[in-house]
Amino acid sequence: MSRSTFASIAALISLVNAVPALIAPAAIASLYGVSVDAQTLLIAQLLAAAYLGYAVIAWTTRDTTETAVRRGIDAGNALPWGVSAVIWIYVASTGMTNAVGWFAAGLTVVFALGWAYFLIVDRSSESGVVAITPRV
Amino acid sequence: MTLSALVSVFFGIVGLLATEPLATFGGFARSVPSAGLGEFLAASYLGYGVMNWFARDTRDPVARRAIAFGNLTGWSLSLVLALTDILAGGARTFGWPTVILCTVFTAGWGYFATQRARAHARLRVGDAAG
Repeated sequence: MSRSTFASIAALISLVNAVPALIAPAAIASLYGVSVDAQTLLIAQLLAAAYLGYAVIAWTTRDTTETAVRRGIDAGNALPWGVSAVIWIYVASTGMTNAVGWFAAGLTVVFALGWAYFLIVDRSSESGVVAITPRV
Repeated sequence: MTLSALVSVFFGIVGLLATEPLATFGGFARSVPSAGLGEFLAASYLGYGVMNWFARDTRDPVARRAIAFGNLTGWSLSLVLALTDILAGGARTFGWPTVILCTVFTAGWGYFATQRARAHARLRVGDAAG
């Protein structure tokens, strides 16, 4: 899968997660079997706002060719997806959510690995650039 | 971009390492869901910080515009949410400081997004003419 396709899917997933959580956070929380108070709803909406920003960045930079930017975006996505994967696995395994929590855990693992893969690919393609100088 | 990156990394690291003390200081009631979501939020801020830091010197107009619009989206929505929360009577220790922080960064990213959109439009007009 090309980086462009992967970034497009990641943008779509961020959007699909963000919009409902922004509009109806309580309904999304109940989907995961979690009951939340007003303060937690605010944090959930702030998180959704951040995910919308991620969606915009991933979508609009999906075809960028500048390696430094790609590396920054790869790292900037791999890190939160990776941390989220750890939190989701902990939350799901300790029974804080219902079975839907495992779906979210799986999703975050897949995207953490995907962004980490493209980070490695972009790093190696950057270090593989060799300056060609004319022979004297 | 550097300033935004540093602020995001600061909140990201503090939020991840000291979720509960930060929540208590901010006047949030201690609950498992809010702590978990707080950690997700901190992780996403850390990601913004890393992204903005690595992309701060880019010359790619598409990437510059994209990062400006992405950050503008996050900050402006956060501003609306924080303001709505205060107006609804949910004022806490972090209430107004959050609104001020969001206003500053929304204005900053809004300025850069507009500038970069104009530069991008000029570039496209130039390409079409050339």
